[in-house]
Amino acid sequence: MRKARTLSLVGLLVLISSCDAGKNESLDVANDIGAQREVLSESQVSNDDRAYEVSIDRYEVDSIYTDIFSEDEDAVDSNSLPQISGGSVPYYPSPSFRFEQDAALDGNKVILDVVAKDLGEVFGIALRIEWDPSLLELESVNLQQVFEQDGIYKAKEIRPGSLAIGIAHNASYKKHEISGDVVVAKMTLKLLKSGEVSITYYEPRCLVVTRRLEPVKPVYIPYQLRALVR
Amino acid sequence: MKAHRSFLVIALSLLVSVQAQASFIEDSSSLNQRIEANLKKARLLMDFRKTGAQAILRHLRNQPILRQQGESFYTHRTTSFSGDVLIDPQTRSVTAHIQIDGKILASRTNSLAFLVFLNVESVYTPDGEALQFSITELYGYPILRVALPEPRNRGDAFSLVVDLSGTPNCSYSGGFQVKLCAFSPILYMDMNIFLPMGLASDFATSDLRISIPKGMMLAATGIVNGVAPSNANPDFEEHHVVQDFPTEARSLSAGIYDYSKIPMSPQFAGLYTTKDSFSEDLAPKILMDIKDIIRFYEGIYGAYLFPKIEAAQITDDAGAAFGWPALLWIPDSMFLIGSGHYGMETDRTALFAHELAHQWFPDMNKSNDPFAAWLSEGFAEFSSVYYMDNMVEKGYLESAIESYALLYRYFVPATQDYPLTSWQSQYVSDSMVYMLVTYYKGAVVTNTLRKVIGDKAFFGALKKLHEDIAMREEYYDTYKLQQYLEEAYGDSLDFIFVPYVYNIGYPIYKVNVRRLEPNQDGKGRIEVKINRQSSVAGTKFDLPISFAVITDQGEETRTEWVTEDEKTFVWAHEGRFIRLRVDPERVFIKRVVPMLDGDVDISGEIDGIDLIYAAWAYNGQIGYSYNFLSWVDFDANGKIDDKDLNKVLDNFGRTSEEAGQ
Repeated sequence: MRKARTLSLVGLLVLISSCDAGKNESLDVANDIGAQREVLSESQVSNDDRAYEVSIDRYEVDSIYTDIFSEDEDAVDSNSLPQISGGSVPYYPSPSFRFEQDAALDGNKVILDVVAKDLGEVFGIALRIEWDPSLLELESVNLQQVFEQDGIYKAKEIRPGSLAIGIAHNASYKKHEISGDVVVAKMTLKLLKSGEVSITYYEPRCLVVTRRLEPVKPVYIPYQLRALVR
Repeated sequence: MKAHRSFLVIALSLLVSVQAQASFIEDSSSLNQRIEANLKKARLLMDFRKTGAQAILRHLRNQPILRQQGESFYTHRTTSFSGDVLIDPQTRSVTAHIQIDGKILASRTNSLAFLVFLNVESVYTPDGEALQFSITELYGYPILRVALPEPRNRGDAFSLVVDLSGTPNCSYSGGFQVKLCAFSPILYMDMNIFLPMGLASDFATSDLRISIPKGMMLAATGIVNGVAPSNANPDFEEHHVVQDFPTEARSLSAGIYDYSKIPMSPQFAGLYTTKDSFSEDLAPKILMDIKDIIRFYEGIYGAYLFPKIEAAQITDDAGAAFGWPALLWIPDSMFLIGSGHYGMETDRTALFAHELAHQWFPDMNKSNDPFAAWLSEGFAEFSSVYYMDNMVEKGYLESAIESYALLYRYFVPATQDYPLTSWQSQYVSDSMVYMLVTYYKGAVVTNTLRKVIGDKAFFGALKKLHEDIAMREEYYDTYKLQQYLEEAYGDSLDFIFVPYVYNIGYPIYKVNVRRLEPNQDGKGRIEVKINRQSSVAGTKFDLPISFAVITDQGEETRTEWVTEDEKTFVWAHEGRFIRLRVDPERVFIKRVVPMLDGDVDISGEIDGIDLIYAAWAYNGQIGYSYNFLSWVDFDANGKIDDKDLNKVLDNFGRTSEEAGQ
């Protein structure tokens, strides 16, 4: 039952993603203070041309009270399972960070948007995004121009499966209002083998602050990915 | 039920995240404001306690002649002053007829030496027998020497009467600039202007009839028992001031005052305020503050033994507030802090808390250490921030102490620095440096002692000191203080006193943290490498340093003696390592530098959190900017410049494992 629903979603996601492709102009830069832009990702993609069949299952959140951190499906009763079909509108708390699948599936690659919602007035954002590196490999990450004014944008995979993102204004008095959904980064991940993998925000190394250096406390919503690689 | 459980998971998760960064956030919120305010205070309050005749005594005792020929100067100690004084603010003149009763301190004493600030007209016995006297100068200060008819021995009593008159030089320039009095519009005066002062420190009561113009109220260290028409001048009134408790120093102030008081059983608290609506409004709150502060200090330092405490509003030309025994002088601008003109009410409370702490240090607990003004000023400043933290604003102490440590580190060059207890401490030409070292570093080191030996032992030792010497002819010095604290601690405290009290500078710790493979039991491990240096050559800091290992499971604190210049520790820990805090409770003045360039929060990796702090602090300057963060100032030049920022940006994503450190 669940599998069938998942498979039907794949087609829908591919379709929606195709429509969205190219909508967000990627910054693909690190905009240091007065420095030239540079490519951010240092991860490499293997040119493996094996065929992959991928099924994606996405947990969406009805409210912050659902089991968004549970990795044990058996522990989740059916009533609280995320609703992903039937036209339901997913709810995400404010302020929050989540992932959204963006572009269409491209062979073994998955593109995920890192989406901030209603952060309010922001001076800087630090994120640490993590996954199982035996299942996924980071191919690239493109930071989006989050601030209207100049800013500092940095991203690097610090360790396999641990991506650090740092975005900040280049002067302490600057701020930017983030309201609604704003894509902060686009990650291209390569599926290495079949399995279920969580893509999570490692909260102890995440920080969002105002220009008064007061912490904003978003809810960090992980993403569950199931890959079947033939 | 399920939803509830999930909520808890989220809440816990948020808590860990916020906790992991909490100290950084808290540190920066008020610290820069505090640094800026304290820097201004240091610049404004020049000659803060370098004033008053007691300061002249400390200065003189340092001089070679007194060190070598002490006996010929430390001849006696006055136990009682009595007599009549007339002060005319209009002519700025003072006339005094004073009987001095005291005891001889040295064998075969044939003359008595006094420091005087008025012309001496005559000296005689209580029976009217004239005594020979001469005036000489000692390092710029006039010394009255009275010949005794026959030699006296140690412990003998003596009595003599001195007639003095003249216009005192309130801004006295001897060895250094001092302020002893002012005449208008408010009269305030160190009573040693008209009370000849023994060089060995008097410990005296007094019974004086002080005449001042009609309509003026008189505030004094003693209690004003009554006012009557003056026999000497019909336009004056005579105030009978009785001080039946002995003190080293005493003062008065007089003006067209309102007076209010509240009971503070068995004593009382009184307040002399100028006649304006602002002061009138503040009076009740200030009186309650005074009472609360006194009660608080009684709890930690021992009983308040003077029969009253009063404060008098004086004019700003005093340049500073003064904590005389049983009487505070508070200049207008300080008195009115928080009244709507400027500043916050808490600033005024902190000021009163500082001045009231002088009732214990040094008014009741008398120091005879000529090289250690920090025993008064450092302790008073510490007491103030400790009171504020406990009674007014939680976190005040940590923020104040950190700001003091930073101001000392950044604004006192090694060439101008001096040990807290040292002869150099009496010859500081730069008032700001004096404030930063004697007051601020003194307060930090006092707090260091408290933190190291613990509140119970620390305050227990100070209470014992109080029991042993307060209101007695007993004194303490730096050495005795150390003995009291060591007795309570049960071990030597040389590791604090030697580097921080008798020497200058602070340690610099370069720290690296590296994640190691987990133990066999699966526990995570980190390697912490410490490189120790000193900010000045020759001072060695062997200290017990605490390290807080912050993980996603909480915080584990370890304390290790860092007694080598290179030291490596390997620690297992629960959960996943997040970052390391060195000396998390800010026990010691020190500087911590990450070995991994750009690793602001010593996590062993340079990530978005380091970037946020570096970007926010960019262009910040110590003492002048709200956004200065000392931990981003990698080269310790007081500015977060391109060099500092680029250390984070250029190394973004590096780890200490990768860097091979």
